[in-house]
Amino acid sequence: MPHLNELQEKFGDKGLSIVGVTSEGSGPTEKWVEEHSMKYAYAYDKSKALFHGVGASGYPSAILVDASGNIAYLGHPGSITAEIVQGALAGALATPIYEWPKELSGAAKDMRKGDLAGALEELGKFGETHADITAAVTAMVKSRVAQLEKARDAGDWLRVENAGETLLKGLGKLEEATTVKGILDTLAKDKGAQAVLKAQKKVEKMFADDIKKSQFDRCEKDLHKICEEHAGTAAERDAKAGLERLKALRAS
Amino acid sequence: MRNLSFLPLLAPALALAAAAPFALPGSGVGDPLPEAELEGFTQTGATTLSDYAGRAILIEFFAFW
Repeated sequence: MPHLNELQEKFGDKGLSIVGVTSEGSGPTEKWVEEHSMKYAYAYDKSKALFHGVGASGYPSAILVDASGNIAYLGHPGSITAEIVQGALAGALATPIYEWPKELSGAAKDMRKGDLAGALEELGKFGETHADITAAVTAMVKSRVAQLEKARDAGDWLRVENAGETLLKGLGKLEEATTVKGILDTLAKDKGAQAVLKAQKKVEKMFADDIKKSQFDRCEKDLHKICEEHAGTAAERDAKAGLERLKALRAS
Repeated sequence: MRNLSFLPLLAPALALAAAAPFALPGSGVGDPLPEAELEGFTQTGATTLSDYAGRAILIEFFAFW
């Protein structure tokens, strides 16, 4: 799609990779790619595992994954604006790891595993030789910690829990791990935060599986209750989004 | 299976979710990208999805229409 060619052109060196994914055969796909002047990467998802795994339901559809590996957007590819892309670029690597010099294969391997501390340790072995890549990984670490702090400040404890544990593991013995541990400790000790987290998880669970029409009224009642009990918190915000979603389900 | 068979009707709500920095419950937004084995990477030096670690990735699911 030309729109995606443009996004790749504009943001490719700022941390965005575009991948077309199809379950069609390779012959017709190659022909199609050529006919449509598709400039970005593509790959095959024969079992449709990724398509179903992200909850997509039709073609064309697209997901935008931010530099931390979380899905930031799901919708029609044409509706992904430059602004939406920019929001997902925080901390993104300008040079993808598969373009790193061969001698950095150890660091690249650590990056694939999310082991940021390991990658920085590997990079450290080369002194100033790969200072640009070291700076990019360091910036990524700082960006992820900053995003976690932002989630904490917003009281989005579900996000803190989900992102925090993964980040803590990746940070290993880096000094930033102390900050992340501190944020997770706050969540563990703060009764108010725990209550919000519990309510957020309840909303998430409600929509994790198909909701039957007979359950709509019950869900709506539960969501309103969460809005009342957790007014002004991330749980209320999630429950309100849930009510919107329920409204759309009812209308369909 | 996620409850997303009504996706086209949800487009406005999803756009709202993306504009605001929070997830629409159950939409997959906010979740980590699930692990999946893709084959035959073309027009790129990448050979697996994990080669994009640290990059923002826009995945377009396409079929011929």
